[in-house]
Amino acid sequence: MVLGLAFAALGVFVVIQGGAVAGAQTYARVGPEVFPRAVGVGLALIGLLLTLDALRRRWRVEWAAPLALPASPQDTLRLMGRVALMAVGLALSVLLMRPLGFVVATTTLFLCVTVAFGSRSVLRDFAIALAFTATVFLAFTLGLGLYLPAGRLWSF
Amino acid sequence: MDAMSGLLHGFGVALTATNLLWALVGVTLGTAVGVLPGIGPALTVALLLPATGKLDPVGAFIMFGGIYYGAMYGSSTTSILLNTPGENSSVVTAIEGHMMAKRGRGAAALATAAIGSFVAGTIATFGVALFAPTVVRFALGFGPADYFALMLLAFTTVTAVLGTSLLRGLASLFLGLTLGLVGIDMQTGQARLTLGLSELLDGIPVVILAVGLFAVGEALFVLSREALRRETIIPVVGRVWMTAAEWRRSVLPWLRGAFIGFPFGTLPAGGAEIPTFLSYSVEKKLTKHPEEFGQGAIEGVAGPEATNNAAVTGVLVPLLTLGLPTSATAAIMLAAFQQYGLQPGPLLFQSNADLIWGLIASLYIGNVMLLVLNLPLAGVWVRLLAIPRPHLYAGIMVFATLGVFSLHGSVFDLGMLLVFGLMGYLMRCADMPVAPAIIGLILGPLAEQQLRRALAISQGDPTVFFTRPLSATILAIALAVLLLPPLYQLYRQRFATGMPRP
Repeated sequence: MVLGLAFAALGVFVVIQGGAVAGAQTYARVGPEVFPRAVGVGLALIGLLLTLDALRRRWRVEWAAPLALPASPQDTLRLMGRVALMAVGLALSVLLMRPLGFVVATTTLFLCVTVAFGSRSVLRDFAIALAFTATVFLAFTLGLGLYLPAGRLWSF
Repeated sequence: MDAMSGLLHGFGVALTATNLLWALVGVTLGTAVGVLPGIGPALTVALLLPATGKLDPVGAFIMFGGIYYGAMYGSSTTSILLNTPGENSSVVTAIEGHMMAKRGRGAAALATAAIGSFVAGTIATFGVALFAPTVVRFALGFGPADYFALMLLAFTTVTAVLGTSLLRGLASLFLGLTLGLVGIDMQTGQARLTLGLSELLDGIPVVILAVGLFAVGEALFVLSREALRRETIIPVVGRVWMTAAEWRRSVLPWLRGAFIGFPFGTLPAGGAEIPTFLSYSVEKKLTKHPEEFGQGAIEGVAGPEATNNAAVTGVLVPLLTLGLPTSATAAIMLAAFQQYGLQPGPLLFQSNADLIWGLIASLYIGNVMLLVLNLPLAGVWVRLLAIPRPHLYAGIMVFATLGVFSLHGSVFDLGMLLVFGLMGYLMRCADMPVAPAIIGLILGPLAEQQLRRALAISQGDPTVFFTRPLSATILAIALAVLLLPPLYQLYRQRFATGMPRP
């Protein structure tokens, strides 16, 4: 239901934002604001219908599905924790990319994902991650000529 | 250029040493990445798009043709041995193929899939070469109104065909359309929906959305579903080659598959899912061994797999001639064209004949290479399946980061990748198909452009869409696609409740 309402809200937002660019007159009579309005109205309508579906219990969002059914709240939370851990890994890699470079950023990401997927030998994974990301870094920068950040902190 | 001279010209382009090398690289990479579980063809193409960045357009597209086909082959290997189809059109292959693998005929299943794909792919590529020039001649007469109608049709078929609920399909489509609005308006140069962020002025790249939804969203989804993480690989044992009986039982399904798949692929009707199911039921009806269906019947692999390949090749007809992508993979191919400043459509056949015919010819070559590569190397690909899950997904994430970052060298793009990944996870949890969002993002701006051009020509008169016979017909079909299934269901419900069973 929340998601349905979110869709409706997004629709209203798109209508308002789309209207904000109106002003320039073109000969076409269909300016840049028309299409956003149509899409926004569509989104709002879909949002309302989704909300109705949710209220009638014909549509439900399942956040996690543990193996043991029925799902206990602890199990669901445990799985959500894993999802969160991976998301944190991605966020960290975004933040670390500029200052510490591709290798450090993606090694961090790699470790977060392996732990989230239940790998327990962190040291071995660390070695794999470092070797893997360093190889990728060298292959793509030297081999294919793409630019990847080496890290601002390391550069002299 | 007609089909024959075009093809000959294309082979002239494709058969140079460098271009052959690119085709080989594309096929190998496509298969290797496509084999990895959880990676379907669309994601394979999206992840490998940046790797082609430094090539000239002709070489890049020849490599792309290889990746496209390689990804299909790879995905069928995964569905047979792991029972995890990478995309909807391999679902049927997974049914019978996985049962065959369980009975120790995995090698034969892989072989019939590979040869079937080769046979059907070759026939279908010939079909593309034959039909594309005709469609081009026809399409030169299309006006903006007709294009707009065609795009609406693509929207409706894609949403109505994919997924379980029309409403959720539409929700996904409109999400894509909204994302497509972001950036500078193509007609007037005004910024829309950018929230004041200069990074968004250029719009949202399709590759980031595709990688976010398919790679990051999918990995998060798998994390949250414990049952999805327990799967067993079936080792390929027994005789590697197909028996004479298996050959006899495969040949006709291959051919039938090619002729079922290609026409469906060329229609703007959502790609390869429907024809593979159709082929499966046809083979089930015609087989002399109906008792084997459900236990691993070779016809059930040969037919649908050939159909799948013919259909994905057929998808290239609307993509190349009209610029109309009808599957997620085709949408990413279209993005690849746009990356080189090319807009597929009838004019491309004249302005870039080298590229188009080179691409079509290299599809043939790629097909041959795949056959050579896959029959002996199946064992190597299978070993890729044995990578432990944690490391596999971690590696995919590193490649996703790499692919997205190397698009523009922008950290902002990585942030977008995270946001789309979370969005993909939400959509998967909410049982919303993700492909319509990708089609919406890439076709939305094009549809808007055609709409406004049409209205500019007609001086704001909206009846232009209904007075042109072609666009009126297409719009009527689009409406029917959207309205018929719910009406039919309503009718059936009425029927079922109104008449007591005898």
